[in-house]
Amino acid sequence: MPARSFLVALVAIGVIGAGSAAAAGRSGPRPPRTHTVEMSGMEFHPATLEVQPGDTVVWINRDIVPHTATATGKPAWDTGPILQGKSGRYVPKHRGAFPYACTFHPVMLGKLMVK
Amino acid sequence: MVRSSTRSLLLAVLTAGLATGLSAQAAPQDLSDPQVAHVAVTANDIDIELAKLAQHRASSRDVKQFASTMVTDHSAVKAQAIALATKLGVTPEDNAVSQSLLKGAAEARATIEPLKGKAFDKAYIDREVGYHQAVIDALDNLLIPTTENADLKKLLVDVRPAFIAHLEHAKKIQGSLLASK
Repeated sequence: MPARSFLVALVAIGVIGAGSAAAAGRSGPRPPRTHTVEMSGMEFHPATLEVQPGDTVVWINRDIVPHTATATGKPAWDTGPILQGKSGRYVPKHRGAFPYACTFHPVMLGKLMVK
Repeated sequence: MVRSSTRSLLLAVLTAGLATGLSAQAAPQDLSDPQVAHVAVTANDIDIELAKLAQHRASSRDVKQFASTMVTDHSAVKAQAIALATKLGVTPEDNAVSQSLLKGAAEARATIEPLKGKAFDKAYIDREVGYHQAVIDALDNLLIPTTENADLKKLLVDVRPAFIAHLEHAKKIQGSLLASK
């Protein structure tokens, strides 16, 4: 019995410990990541991207024609023209939902979800 | 035989659609790859030339911006078409479809050029809506199916989404011009 109690206690501590570590992993900061959005067929792929503040978003233009990724709301940000085969980047600092578009082709729409 | 006559009929209809006034007798029986390359270059040139006029003459900021995009995009597509033709050793060859496109463009320009202000903007955008729709139809029903070279066919397939985006953009402006009347 004492041996079993000891085992139960050990398992319980292990489970709680693992749970705490997982919770810390979810809420704690992680190193910044780089995400890629492809501009192809006159669309952003993916059209909606989830990132964390401080992550880098890179847009790569696979189309023949130039594109931009430009905020349609506040704060204002703009990659500037990205030619075929080239890329542009932006590092969002604040949390929120930020829609953007290509200024040359307003039918091209995307969204950054900064969480 | 059936396929050939269907294609001839399609070519006749398309050619007539692209430029009113061209007789059915002048419709080509088929398009070779050098002819498709010529149509690709001509179609882009036509849109660039009218857009250059609109860049200076349009009064709406949206229309001016659209015209600038047309110059940039169609110049990029034209350059790609010429680069590919050069790489493939294809010399673009004039043909009835290119001629009908040019005839239609001259007629459109003659109508649009004397206009001013909002009337110019509306006429230019109306033309762009019609022209892009006609070019997309030509891509789908004539140019892409007719082209034999895989690289040339791929270029036509790759540029199609840009023309669709141009058409949607033009329609959006067309709607806002009507609303602001």
